[in-house]
Amino acid sequence: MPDSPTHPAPLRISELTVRYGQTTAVADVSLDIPAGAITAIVGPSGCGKSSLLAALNRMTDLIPTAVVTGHVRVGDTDVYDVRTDVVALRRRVGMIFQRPNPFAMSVRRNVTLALREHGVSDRAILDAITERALRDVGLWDEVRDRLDRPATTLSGGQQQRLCIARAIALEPDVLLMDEPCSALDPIAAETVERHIASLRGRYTVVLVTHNLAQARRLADHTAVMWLHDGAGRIIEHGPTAAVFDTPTHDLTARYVRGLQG
Amino acid sequence: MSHTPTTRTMTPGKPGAMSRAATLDVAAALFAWGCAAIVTAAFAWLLIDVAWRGVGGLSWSFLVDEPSDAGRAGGVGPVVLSTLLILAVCMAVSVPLGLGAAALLAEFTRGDTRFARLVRRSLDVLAGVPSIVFGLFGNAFFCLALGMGYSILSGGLTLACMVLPILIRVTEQGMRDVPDAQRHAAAALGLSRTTTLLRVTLPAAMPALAVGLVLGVGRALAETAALIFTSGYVTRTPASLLDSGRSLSVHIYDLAMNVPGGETHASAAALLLIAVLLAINLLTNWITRRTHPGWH
Ligand SMILES: Nc1ncnc2c1ncn2[C@@H]1O[C@H](COP(=O)(O)OP(=O)(O)OP(=O)(O)O)[C@@H](O)[C@H]1O
Ligand SMILES: [Mg+2]
Repeated sequence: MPDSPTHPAPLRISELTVRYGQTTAVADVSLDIPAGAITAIVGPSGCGKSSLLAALNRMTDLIPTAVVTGHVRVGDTDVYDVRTDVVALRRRVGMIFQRPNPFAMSVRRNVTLALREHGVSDRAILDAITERALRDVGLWDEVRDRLDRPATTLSGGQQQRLCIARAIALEPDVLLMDEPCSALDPIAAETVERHIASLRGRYTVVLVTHNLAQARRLADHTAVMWLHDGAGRIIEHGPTAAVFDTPTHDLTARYVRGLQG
Repeated sequence: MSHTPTTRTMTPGKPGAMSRAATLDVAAALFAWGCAAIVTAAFAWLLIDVAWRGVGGLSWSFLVDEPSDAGRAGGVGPVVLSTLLILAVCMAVSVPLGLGAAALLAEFTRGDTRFARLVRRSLDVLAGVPSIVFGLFGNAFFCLALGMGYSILSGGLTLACMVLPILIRVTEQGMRDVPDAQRHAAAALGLSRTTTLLRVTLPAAMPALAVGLVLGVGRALAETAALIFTSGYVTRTPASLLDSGRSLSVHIYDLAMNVPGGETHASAAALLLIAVLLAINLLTNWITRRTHPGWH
């Protein structure tokens, strides 16, 4: 399995609502995310971007108060169908978090832990996958001599790239990234960004970002979220150039102009 | 991590004079250092005192010989063996049970269910119960009701009951202290809850677990009241776990309180007990570091 090419899958979100107890974080979002492209989700703080993203691979299951209604399809899998195997789903839909969160174990084991769990046990295959994943994020040459050192000794940018490598080692169809560069210094962020760009075509990437310039540089498509009646909604989406250059919504126009400086 | 007090002056007008904040800093640092010094000194004094009195009695034959003349002469061989066996029974029971219970409390009862609260409250109460009560309970339950008699098994099981609350609470806290980010990372990679527990949370909680273990072992090794009524005070070499056996702490107590002229051997045995404790502490540390290099 790990040697098969990836099959970037489209995402189809329809009428998705995420609530935490009484507060509605995401209201009635419908959005089609094309396969193999990078789609950015932008919007002001607290408008529900992270919540929307977490609903796509059911990380919301981990939050006791979260209730999700509506539909999400990844390829032809219905994410919220009771028969859907969450573990298999999360294997297909990887996630990168805002703060790098490598496991407190060696660099190598960070990559192989999940592979072993999913049934790969041959040492040679594990080594090959590890090397390829680390090469994909430009980390191989930096860590090839310290694969057995604790991952926590890497720099922040290296840790984040390790987290991306760990996710793509599973050959997911979709990668969800929640502000993956915001905890990094500009140079490390630039490196991570370059490697995200190189994932285009091989994975369907959904990228939540505060950084409009980054969305503009990276994303094929952009969706703008906004707080409306106390809940996050998508007010505009389309090809990135169109959203930035000829926005149809007033708020979008002011938002992209205001933050572009 | 030591903090050296900042004595730089921040007021440009009065060279040499310390600002209020700086004075406060120095005072706080002195106070903290003072407290640390007092604690260290107390421990050092105790150690030196025991070593001073006991070191003369220590020898290889003391370690392996049978006691004679009520312990005034001979050695502590069988006593050491009984102590280690009691400890082994105690750990063999309490470590797996403690881990399981801690995992249940920390990982599988998310938040504050009534059940989790009840278990935690009970554990806290149990942790404070005087050991003599455990001794009487162990005597009534293990020795009499279950028919194990005065035996190493009864003693070990009684100690396990006593050690479990501390072990569970410390381990649970250690597991809770593992950042949620680690659990999220594991979930996002499609790791099952069991794998997450075994490969991510537990290893990360290892240092806390080791602390719990050392505290537990320390309490168990120091115990006399819980053991006198359960494992007994026979000084013979035990032939099986169902034999009665005297632990080091019981031996020390007996020599110091009931045997005139037993002080030298009591001190030697006490020194030995401290050495065993230190050795266990170092061993646990070493294992923790070996199995978990990334965590300090
Ligand atoms: N676990 C939670 N429990 C309760 N409310 C939550 C929880 N997580 C988020 N919220 C609320 O949901 C709303 C949306 O939060 P979310 O984190 O999705 O926003 P965001 O767009 O990602 O913000 P940011 O850009 O600051 O990361 C906020 O009002 C937030 O307070
Ligand atoms: Mg967010």
